Amino acid sequence: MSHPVLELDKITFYYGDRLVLDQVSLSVCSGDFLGIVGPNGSGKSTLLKIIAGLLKPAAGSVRIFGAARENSRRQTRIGYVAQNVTSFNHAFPATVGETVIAGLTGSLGLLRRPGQREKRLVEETLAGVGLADLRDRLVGELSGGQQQRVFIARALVAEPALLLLDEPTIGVDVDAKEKFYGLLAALRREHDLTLLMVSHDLGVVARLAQSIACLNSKLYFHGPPAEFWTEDVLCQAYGAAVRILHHGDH
Amino acid sequence: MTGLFDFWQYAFMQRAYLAGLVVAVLCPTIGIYLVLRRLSLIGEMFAHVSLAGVALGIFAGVYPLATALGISLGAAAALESLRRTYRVFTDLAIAIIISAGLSLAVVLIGLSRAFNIDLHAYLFGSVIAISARDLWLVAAVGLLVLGFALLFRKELFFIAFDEEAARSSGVAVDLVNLLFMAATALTISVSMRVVGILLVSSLITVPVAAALQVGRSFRSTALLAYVFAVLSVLCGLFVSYHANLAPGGSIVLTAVALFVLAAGYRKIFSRGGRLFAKGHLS
Repeated sequence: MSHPVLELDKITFYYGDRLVLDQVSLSVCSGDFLGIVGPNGSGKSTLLKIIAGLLKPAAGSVRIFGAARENSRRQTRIGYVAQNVTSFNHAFPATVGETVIAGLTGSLGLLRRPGQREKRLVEETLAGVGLADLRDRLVGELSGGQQQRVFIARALVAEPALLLLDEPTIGVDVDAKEKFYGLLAALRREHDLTLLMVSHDLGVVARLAQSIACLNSKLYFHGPPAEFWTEDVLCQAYGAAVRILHHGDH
Repeated sequence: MTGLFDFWQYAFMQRAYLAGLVVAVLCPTIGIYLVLRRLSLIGEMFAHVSLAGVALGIFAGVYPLATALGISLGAAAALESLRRTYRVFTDLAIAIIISAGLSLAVVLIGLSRAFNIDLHAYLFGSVIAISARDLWLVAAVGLLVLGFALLFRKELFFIAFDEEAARSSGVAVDLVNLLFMAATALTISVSMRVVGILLVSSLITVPVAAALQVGRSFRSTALLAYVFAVLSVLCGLFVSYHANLAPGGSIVLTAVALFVLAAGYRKIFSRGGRLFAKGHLS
């Protein structure tokens, strides 16, 4: 396929003394949809935060579009939607429009203010996620599913080439979930978007993603969904978790 | 009727009003971000630290507002470094700096036996105490802080809403936070001249709290906070002159009254508002 958008080389990370990521190496090509799965506490979210530049690995390197993470001026080409994004302060007085235009803050840079072009981008992005009618509503008053789409729009408005989603459907009802997955598929068709999605829902990931990475501190598997089921990675990755816990108890 | 506005012929009242208006604009400018980031206690912190600065100025025979500014900026730097080291314990960092400021103030006041008119004016605010020098300093700081808030408006908003998202999208969060802390320190140091150390953090938070009751967007909330703060200062100073009350107390009591009105309005409006919204949508 095409050139790699993201290359992780032997990423290692500790929370205090606890080894969370153990030499994880991974490469993602342009246009790919990678689902990252693994048991609780397997380092999925941590890995995403490292890619987003929110955490620094103890060892290893992140290369994005061929440039090292630290000196990449193309940071704004990454969109990141955190796991707990809908658990924000619901009394925060921001409208949908104000929230989404904030997503352009980084790419505009200091001192530049959003103008006509930016306002149009917001309109287009909101229409893209199906929220055009809600622009002037307060975000805190929307449903969980609508809020989720507001924050996706905030990430998308900066026109990222790589979108990182951490458990995007937590706290969203079943109906909104299906809508959301439909939206993801549409976004991938319309934009040249590479997608990384962390999820605990193996079924959904296997159904939607082009490739799967199975993580439990180490990377246990990286390949197409079909192979994910045939090889016994599930047992390995999730079983290993049990063993590690067992050792820890002694 | 003309008698009501006689006070305008006095230079000290003109200075009080001008300084008061600058402060009325500055306090919600900073306050809206402090309140939304749940850092209201920081207003209290800088007030206590400013008290130490004022006491130091009186003790050393230096211009107290200048020492208050200096010490507050030092506290801002200390807080940011403590915050970065102990991310989880921001409130603890604030508590430590409050303690340090207050204890230093108590020691210095004791040393200089300075519990005099001067200190009284700083503690409770004073209309007659605002000198031309104070007014110039208030104006200069006002320009600086307003300029900062205008230039960094979109960054301040994004960080207040979602610091992590701001950081991941390439906003220079640490730089903006540091500048914001400095702007907060400056705002509180000059505001205490008008409302007094004991009440300065109220003028930072109460007009914003009132605006949050009725604002329907960030923009309208910010504008309402300005309206409430300016009204509080104008009414407060007016009442304080005519009834011979402490200006700081009159200003903040007006702000609290406005908050009660806004909260009441919200209660009535949100009931009717919901009905209206239902009919509107269907």
